[in-house]
Amino acid sequence: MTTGTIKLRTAIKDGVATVRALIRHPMDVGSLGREGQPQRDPHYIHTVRCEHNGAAVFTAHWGFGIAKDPYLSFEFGGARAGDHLSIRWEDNHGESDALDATL
Amino acid sequence: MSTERHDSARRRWLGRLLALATLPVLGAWRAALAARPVRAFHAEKLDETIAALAGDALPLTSEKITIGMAELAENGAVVPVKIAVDLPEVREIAILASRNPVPLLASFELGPTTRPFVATRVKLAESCDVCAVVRTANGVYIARKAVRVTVGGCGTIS
Repeated sequence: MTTGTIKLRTAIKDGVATVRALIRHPMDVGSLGREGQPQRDPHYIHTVRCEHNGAAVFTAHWGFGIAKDPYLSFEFGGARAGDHLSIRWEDNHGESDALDATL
Repeated sequence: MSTERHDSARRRWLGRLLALATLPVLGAWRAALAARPVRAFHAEKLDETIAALAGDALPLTSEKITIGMAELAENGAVVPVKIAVDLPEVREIAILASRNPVPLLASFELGPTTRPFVATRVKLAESCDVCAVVRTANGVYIARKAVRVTVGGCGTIS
């Protein structure tokens, strides 16, 4: 498991939490190995899962069509200051990282 | 002595029963996690991708879906996209690019408290239609927006 790849910003307004996450990852489409170049397999995050107090609020399924160093933003209701938020990604090489935060 | 033996046998059986009882629960849990639209990610044509996402439903064009992005993207490798939906009970939002080698860029599953909104940054291979396919409790809806791309962002730039 890699660490320190997730940057998280959260804000609460009227019970609605806004989450903005920035993940450090190559999101590489790979290459087919034309003319002497070695073939490179794609390397991309396929799942990002976010939980609010243990309940899934947001799950992203990605392909390699997501830009390098992915940015993600979403909003959910029923949020209070002090609530627990966790975010975890997993890529197609079996690497992952997770971050726990307090709203 | 004999009761002890009975007890251990009973414990063994109880353990097996418990293991059996948890199997379907684990299965359901795994099924809930395995909601990745695998077939849609394997599709290479826009229509096939939409069909794979929509399943049996017929996607209806909706003006309640807003695709927030610039009509001209200078760098196809990093194109900001925002999707906002003004429909009730949105379960899933998918973003597609009509001319990418893999049209499906992302699919987002929303929880019951999650607002029907998502923002991210995608790669566009060339000028194309960006589509949002939205699944709600009542059906599947679709919107599209034409985007011009100056420098493509697939294949060459990682």
